Amino acid sequence: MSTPPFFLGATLLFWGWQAGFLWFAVAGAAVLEGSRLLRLRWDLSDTDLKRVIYLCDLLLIGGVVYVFVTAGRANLVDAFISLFRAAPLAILPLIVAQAYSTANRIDITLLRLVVRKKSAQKKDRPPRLVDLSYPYSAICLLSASAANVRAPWFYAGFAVLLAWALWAHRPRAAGPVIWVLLLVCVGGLGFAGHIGLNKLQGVVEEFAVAAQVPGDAPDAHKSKTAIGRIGSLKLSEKILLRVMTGKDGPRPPFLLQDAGYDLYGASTWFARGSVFKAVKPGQNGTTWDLHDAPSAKKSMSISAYLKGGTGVLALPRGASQIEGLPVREMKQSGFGTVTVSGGPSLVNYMVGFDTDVPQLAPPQETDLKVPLNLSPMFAKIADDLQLKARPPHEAIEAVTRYFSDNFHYATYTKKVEMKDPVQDFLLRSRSGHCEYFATATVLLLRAAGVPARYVTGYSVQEFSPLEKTYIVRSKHAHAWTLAFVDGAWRDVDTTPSSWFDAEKDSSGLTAVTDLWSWLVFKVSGLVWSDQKSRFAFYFIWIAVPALIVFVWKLYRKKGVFLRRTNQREQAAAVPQKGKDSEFYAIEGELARRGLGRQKWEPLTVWIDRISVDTAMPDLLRQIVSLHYRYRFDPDGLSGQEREALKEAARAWLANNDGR
Amino acid sequence: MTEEIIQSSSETMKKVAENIEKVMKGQSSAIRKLLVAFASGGHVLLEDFPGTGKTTLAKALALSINMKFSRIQFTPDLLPSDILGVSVFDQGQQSFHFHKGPIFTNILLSDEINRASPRTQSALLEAMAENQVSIEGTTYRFDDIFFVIATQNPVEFRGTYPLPEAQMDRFALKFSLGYVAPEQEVAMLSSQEVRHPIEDISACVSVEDVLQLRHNVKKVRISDELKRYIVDIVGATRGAPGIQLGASPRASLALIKAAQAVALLNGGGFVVPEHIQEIAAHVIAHRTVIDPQARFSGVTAESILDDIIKKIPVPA
Amino acid sequence: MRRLVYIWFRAFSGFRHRVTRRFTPAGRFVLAGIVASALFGLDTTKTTAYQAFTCLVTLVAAGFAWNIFFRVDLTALRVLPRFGSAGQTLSYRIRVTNSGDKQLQGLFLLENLPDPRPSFAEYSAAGSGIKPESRRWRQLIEMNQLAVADRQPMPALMPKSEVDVSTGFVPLRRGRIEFESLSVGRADLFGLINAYVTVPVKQHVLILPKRYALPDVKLPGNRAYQQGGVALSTSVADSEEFLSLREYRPGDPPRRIHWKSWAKTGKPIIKEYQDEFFVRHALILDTFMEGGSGEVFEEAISIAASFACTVQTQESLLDLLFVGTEAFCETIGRGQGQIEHFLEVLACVRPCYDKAFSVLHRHVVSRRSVISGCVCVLLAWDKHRSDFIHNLHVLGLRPIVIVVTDPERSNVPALGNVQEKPGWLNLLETGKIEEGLAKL
Repeated sequence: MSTPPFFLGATLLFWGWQAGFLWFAVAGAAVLEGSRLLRLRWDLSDTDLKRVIYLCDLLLIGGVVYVFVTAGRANLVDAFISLFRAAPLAILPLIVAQAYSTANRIDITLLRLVVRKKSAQKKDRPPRLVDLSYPYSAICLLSASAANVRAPWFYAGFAVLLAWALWAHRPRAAGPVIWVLLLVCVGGLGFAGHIGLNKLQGVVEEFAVAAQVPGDAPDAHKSKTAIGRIGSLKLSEKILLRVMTGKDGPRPPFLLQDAGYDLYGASTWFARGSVFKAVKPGQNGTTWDLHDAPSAKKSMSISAYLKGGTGVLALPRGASQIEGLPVREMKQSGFGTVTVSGGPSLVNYMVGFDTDVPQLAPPQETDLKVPLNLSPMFAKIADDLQLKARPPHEAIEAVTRYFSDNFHYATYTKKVEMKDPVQDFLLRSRSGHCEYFATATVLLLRAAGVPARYVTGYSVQEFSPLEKTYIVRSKHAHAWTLAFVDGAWRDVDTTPSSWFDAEKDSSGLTAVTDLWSWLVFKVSGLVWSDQKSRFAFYFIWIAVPALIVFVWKLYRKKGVFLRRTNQREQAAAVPQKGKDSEFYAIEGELARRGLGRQKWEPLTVWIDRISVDTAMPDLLRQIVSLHYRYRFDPDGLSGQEREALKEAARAWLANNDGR
Repeated sequence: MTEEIIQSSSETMKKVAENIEKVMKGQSSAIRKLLVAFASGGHVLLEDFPGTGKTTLAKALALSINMKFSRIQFTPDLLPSDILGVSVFDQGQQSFHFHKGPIFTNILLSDEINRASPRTQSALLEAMAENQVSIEGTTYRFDDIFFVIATQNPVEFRGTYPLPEAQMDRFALKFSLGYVAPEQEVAMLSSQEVRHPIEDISACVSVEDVLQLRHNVKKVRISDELKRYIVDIVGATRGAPGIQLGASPRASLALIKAAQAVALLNGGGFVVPEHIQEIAAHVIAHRTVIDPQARFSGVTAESILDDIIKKIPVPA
Repeated sequence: MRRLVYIWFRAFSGFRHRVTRRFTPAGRFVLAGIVASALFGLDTTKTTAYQAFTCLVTLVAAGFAWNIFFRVDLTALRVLPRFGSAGQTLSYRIRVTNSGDKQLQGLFLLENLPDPRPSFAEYSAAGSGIKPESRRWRQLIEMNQLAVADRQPMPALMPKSEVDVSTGFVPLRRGRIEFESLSVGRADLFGLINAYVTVPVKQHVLILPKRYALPDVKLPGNRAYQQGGVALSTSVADSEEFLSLREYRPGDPPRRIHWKSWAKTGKPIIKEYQDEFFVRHALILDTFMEGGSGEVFEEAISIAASFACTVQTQESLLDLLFVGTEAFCETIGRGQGQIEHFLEVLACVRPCYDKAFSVLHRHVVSRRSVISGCVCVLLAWDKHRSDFIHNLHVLGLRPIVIVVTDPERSNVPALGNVQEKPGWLNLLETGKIEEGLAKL
């Protein structure tokens, strides 16, 4: 089945428009439809076709490599969809080859021969010639859908192209008016249907959010701590973030928060007291103002991976404006937690922040709550340190000193003897990891009457000479306290500062994995880059040289000019007498009514067959006998008889015009 | 050729047809073909089941025209001399006399021609072609009107010698009688209750009428376009799938003559495409040789001819 | 477990058949598009493929809806030839009569052939020799499927008139094709979905076995006097060949008098004839299949059919000897028409399960006196058969022996070393019969 004229070019242009490769599409369409004007064809042998297929394979495999390499970090499906946007470009050489071949078909058994080179060539497999125009159009349309342009143009374009193809192949018996009517109905119903589907997914998603399973990324609603876990707390070297600060940026170690919590129970911190509010994006959709009056004295840029395009942002204290973040929606809570969704799997955003203006929700009741079972212990310690008596910032200092003097950092917990692990930490073991310190600090400060919240995030310490940015590893995840002092919330970190030293790992393997991680980061950056031109740039560098080589090889082959075959009427070797008989008009009239004569049927047999449906069959028979004499009698008709034939024919036509 | 001549010849044929119809009820189509072959000067090959009335048909024709009729029953031990005649030595006169065989007649019915050995078959077929017999240096010509109706039995295959393909060309038409409709058969039973109707047949036309008829057939007009149509049909058999040997130009000649005879039978002075299509299959089919492999796929010469006629556009 | 596999194959074959029937090629393409867009558009936020999905699904639904009101008033009759051949196109015409008042356009005809899917009993009885289950399934379907029919477009049909539609297909194996009914179909307004009306027309046609090209095989044997053999028509006198001239004896028929000699000698001289001498060959077909594969049997039939067609029977007779419900002997010779009869017999031969090979052995030996030479087509080579051939050698016949072998399971236990096989023993593998025959 071949596509109607110009259909392929139109589909390619539609794809280019939707997927953002318009210039490529224009070039491709020109080449394809140009084959109609430039009647030059090549006789492509199997080897030529195989070379074209190799080229397409190269382009496709290049794309698959991208997908494979980024599979570990980013979402595989998202990467694939993003790459599929460019699939028509990869297959364009094959379609051009088909358009310019003499056969205008491709033997699809060749496609298999290339992929599975090991299989023995089966010579008795007959070539299956297929016109690839329609499959290619389908791929173009699917790619256009992968571009995810949310305007109604996709549906309109798709419907128009579909209607075009269906019209070209409609069965002859279909009446055009009713066909168009039905198609319009189908289009309308389809439109309603897809809006409904979209809404349906929204409903399903909301349903699923309630049953969300916490994954690797921090959960904005609760943080399950490792308090109470016995054994070593293994933290990996995996690089999670890359931070680049300006000249006046904070010196390491500085903290980046991702989530804040206020309620503690059963070794878990919950964020109960604050609601998430949506953040409105700026004009270009990538700038987000976290506060009404953003003040961005300093800025830093952070690269992070968002699993599934969804996650919590790591932000410095006082973050007020985010730029360069192409996500669909952003919400922030009063605790400083910012969640995003509908974004790419790798983001690189710029944060404008002002440490002097940390705007968070004011303290509430929950910020002073201590769990009942721990309350007496904390009250006692608070009393011991005379925290209530002191002013808040002195209390904080006292707490900090208390912890740094009497406790030490350890990722290894031997055993928990007391009922509650925090109790065990405070009273017996006096050693633990940052979550213990943070939890204990929060509860202690609360017991002292200072509103405090528990905050998780990262501590930026390490500078990578290779990447020339700060790198934050998984093991740099940190928890600390946020205390409300002097009318503002301040970070309080009571974990002994030597903790990152303890975490230093001097494994040589780390250097290798870091290098690999950097490579993947760079490649992912290409994939998720906002600038399509960068992607296209790399594509051109592969495709154009290959194309040049191919065209040069083709130039050496001789092309075949298609001769426009003149379908001249074969001049009858035998002169046909009597071809001007009026009977032919009658024959035409009957044919128009659907009573036409088969080409092998002689006239009297035909008349007998249709005599039921015609008026005046006897007159018709008389006309036929006169007509026969006119045509086949070498003696011909006399003048009188000729007139009689004309009259009779006219009479019959006149009588039968109305029917 | 004037209208009266046309009408008179047409009348002749119609009279004979009606006469034969009295004896053979319900076989009008076969009688038409028989007369067409007779008028065009060719011979007929009848392939039919036993007992359908082949002999009766030949006899009725002969009686209608008041001509000599003889019948040869072919058997495997039939000798050429049994057909052509034999030179008998008369001892008294010490000389040879040629006793003419049954072939010296006007209308000859050769029954079950495929039973005789090829030697005997060719004796008859050569005589049909030459219209004369040469025995020991002397040539004996047949009468002006010499018409052979040969029959074949399609059922018996054991011990038969099928006619060689090259000799099938001798027969202008090949057709079969077939069984009649039940009403006709009942009528036939009724008519033969007391005596066979053939005994009541008398001549209705004279020999001169028949000679005139044959002469007039040759004068029927046919346009060049239709001649081309005939040639196209015959030519198509030469390349058709399933045919090993197509029809020769002799087939085209036979078809023209037969078409002219059909036109005259219908009372017209010129040939029209319907006439050609009516007898084309009967004239051409038996002259072709079917590829043996195709034959076992159920393909017959008649079906191939039908396809050819349906493929070639008819002049209209 | 096997039952589950069977149910899966059955369901899948049925599903595929229904999809191919119901959807036109364009319709199948649209169906593929629906599946692709569904996969792509599962997450409606990531791509817009779900829009394409709804559009196509609505299109297909509209097609189905359009077809609900399809009705025709037709009768049909097939004009079938006497028989067809396996592997060669069977062409025939279908005469369709429109008994309704509407003009019918854009219809096509499709033959409904019987369902080739095997029953569970057949499937499990097929033996466990063939490793991939799907291959066993496909083989069984091939065994049962006599033909595959295609759509045939019909020209426009006026009310109360009839038209002839030429159609045809290639039968795949020998046997009797039973046509159950004829489906008249029409594509919907968009050309994607077919609607059908079934016209019951029961007819049947016989398909002759497939034949191979044989080289010019010289069958062994001498011309010997065959009493009453020629013509086999005892109702007619024997054909005779001229032998010599001799003197007249009272009782000789006068037509045999040679007049010229009488003239010369003065005495009546008679031409003397003798009965014809000719050759009579036997084609012996082994029908005893003890658990062998059906394909071996079919190939043996094809080889027998090839011999029947190739051996020149103008000057000889050919006897076909085989055992079915009883011991049969079919003879042809002296006339082309009988080969069709031969092939019709071969088309209906079934394997014999209830008798022993010795029945065939005795049948052949009993006809030894009239056989000049023979060709044996055997299904295996075991002790019985090798004894049989040895017996024929002892009786003076020098048979050409063809054994059809199955490359997958060995049916030649008595062969021993292949290198030492005797020259008159030919082993032909199924699948390579044509090459094997060329080497004869």
